[in-house]
Amino acid sequence: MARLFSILALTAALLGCSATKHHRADGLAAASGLGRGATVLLVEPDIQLSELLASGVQEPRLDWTQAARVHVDQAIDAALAEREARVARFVEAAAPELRERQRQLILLNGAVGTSILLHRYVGNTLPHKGESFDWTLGRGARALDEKARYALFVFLHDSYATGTRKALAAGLMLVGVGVSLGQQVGFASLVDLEDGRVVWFNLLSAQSGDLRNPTDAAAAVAQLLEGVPL
Amino acid sequence: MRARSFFDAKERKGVKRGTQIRAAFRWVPAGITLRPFAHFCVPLRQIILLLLAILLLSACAKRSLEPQDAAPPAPDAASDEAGLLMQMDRFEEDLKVSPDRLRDPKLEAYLNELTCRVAGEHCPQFRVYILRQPFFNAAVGPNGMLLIWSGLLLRVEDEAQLAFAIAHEIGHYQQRHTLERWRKLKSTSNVAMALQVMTAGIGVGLVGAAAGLGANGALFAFNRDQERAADDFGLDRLAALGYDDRRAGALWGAVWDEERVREKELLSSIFASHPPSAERRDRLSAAARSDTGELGKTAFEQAVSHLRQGWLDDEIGRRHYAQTEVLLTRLEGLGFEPGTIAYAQAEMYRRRARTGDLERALRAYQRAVTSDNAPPLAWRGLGLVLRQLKRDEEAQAPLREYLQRAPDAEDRAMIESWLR
Repeated sequence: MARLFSILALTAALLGCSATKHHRADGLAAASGLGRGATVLLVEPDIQLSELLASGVQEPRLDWTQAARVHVDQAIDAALAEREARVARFVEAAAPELRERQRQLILLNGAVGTSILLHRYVGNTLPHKGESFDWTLGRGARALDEKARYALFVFLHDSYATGTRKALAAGLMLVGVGVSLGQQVGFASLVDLEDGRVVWFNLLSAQSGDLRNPTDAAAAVAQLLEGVPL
Repeated sequence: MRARSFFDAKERKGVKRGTQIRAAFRWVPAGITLRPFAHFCVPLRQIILLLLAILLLSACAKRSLEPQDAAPPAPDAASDEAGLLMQMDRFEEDLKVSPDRLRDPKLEAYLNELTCRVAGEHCPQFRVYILRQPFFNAAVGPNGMLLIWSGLLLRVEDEAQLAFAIAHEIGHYQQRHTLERWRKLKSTSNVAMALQVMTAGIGVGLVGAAAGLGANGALFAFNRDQERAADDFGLDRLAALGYDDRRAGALWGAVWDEERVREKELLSSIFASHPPSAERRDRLSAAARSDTGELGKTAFEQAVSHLRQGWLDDEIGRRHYAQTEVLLTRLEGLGFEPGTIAYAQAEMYRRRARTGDLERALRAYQRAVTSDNAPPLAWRGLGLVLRQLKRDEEAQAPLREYLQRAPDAEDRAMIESWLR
């Protein structure tokens, strides 16, 4: 997870402020929808909000994280309803073996996402893949849910500077030192549960947009879901 | 989080799995970008002093913590403690499915039962995980996850010592040392940042770099006072449960015997906040009160013996042969499964392969194959060493014996080609 986070931060830094750039699987026309009324399984978004202390240490905040989870959840619901998709929420299986496979799939999605970031966004292109976008979790992805057609994964980490850090940043500006005041990093992917293909992938990176309030959270989600083929 | 206590930070360096575990504990600090631009005519000195004041003031707030209740209420969601617990819970979720986790129902049941007994009224707060890592370490999180590394289980001699290790961790939990350390870290980092501010202004990076290292060093361990408090808690629990509390000092004595033969490595002085093993041994031995008390040798042996072979393989794989030699000599003296131990000694010498090691390996393999519980691989090793010593004729019998004892051996075809 720490590795994923550093790659995300690196990617975000390379792309600059408030950029999104999505990719669709090969063979999927730019404007095509994948059928209205498809059931989309929403895997619990990985959301964490932290406070950026004066020292640069990120302190995780439960209250902010909880609030952001509610806002982001609602915003995703609304965005998917607008696209006439049916939303199902991921429920962990009761059987230990299946549950273990599901957890591994979620971890695998993180690993595949990390690779996509590294090889499509950071620019470290894989020679055999070139410009093609044909990433997959494999057929085992079905284990996440028996019925839904797609699974939507969301990763959103954000941090906000404390007053002390803001004061420090202002002061340091004067002596010529730049200090980060927090950064929003996130990505989302849509996986076809029939064959495990990553049909759409989007990276979000912004220096502003406060997930702690519903309006900004909805804006961030709208940006994050840009180009989703639903 | 980094509730590392039993363990020796230097050893973990360079071990991939250990690094991953450590990485998962790390809060990635947001980068401070140094971006010099046009210099304004400002009183630099005053600005720097002001900034230092801001940072140092925010570093001073510190009060000591109340011990953990048996049924603690959930902390305020806006508090640093709640954030810390959230982070720990995330870590625990990853840990549950980690490939480093050792799943063994028999040992897990034993450790759960023992932990519950040691924890007393705190029992429901703990969840025990075994990590397959060949280092002497155990850790506890402020959310009640208790991690025991296989390298500790390999070194512990009886239930009394294991109970002490667990009680020591519970002591850290009960006295909320991780939260204390997290608060300390935050303020230490602020001070480190202050030094960076100072040096950024005058264009000297060295002091700042050294301070950064110091702040990270503080991350690596509980401080001495915390370790001592946890040791005292551990001794009290041992006595209360009727164990022989002299075993705690003996455990640290054994750790010290290994530690002092370590080949010198980099960064050794950074982690000095950890009380040296010899000091802990002496302190614990002096504080022991009972001269009777239970050892629990049999129960412990029954719970771990079936796993020892694998742990010994991991231990040899560390390639710290001087330490492994000391450990194996000790285990041999204790009479744990002579065949398994002799086999491990032989493997260690064969892989180290210094002058005379081949002969040492030969003797150890010979000891192994004449013991009751030698693994089939002991005959393979004996055959291999004899071949290396150009005694091909003598190698035939043990290699045949190996194939008989391991009918599904992966290297059967190769061995058979030698036997033709």
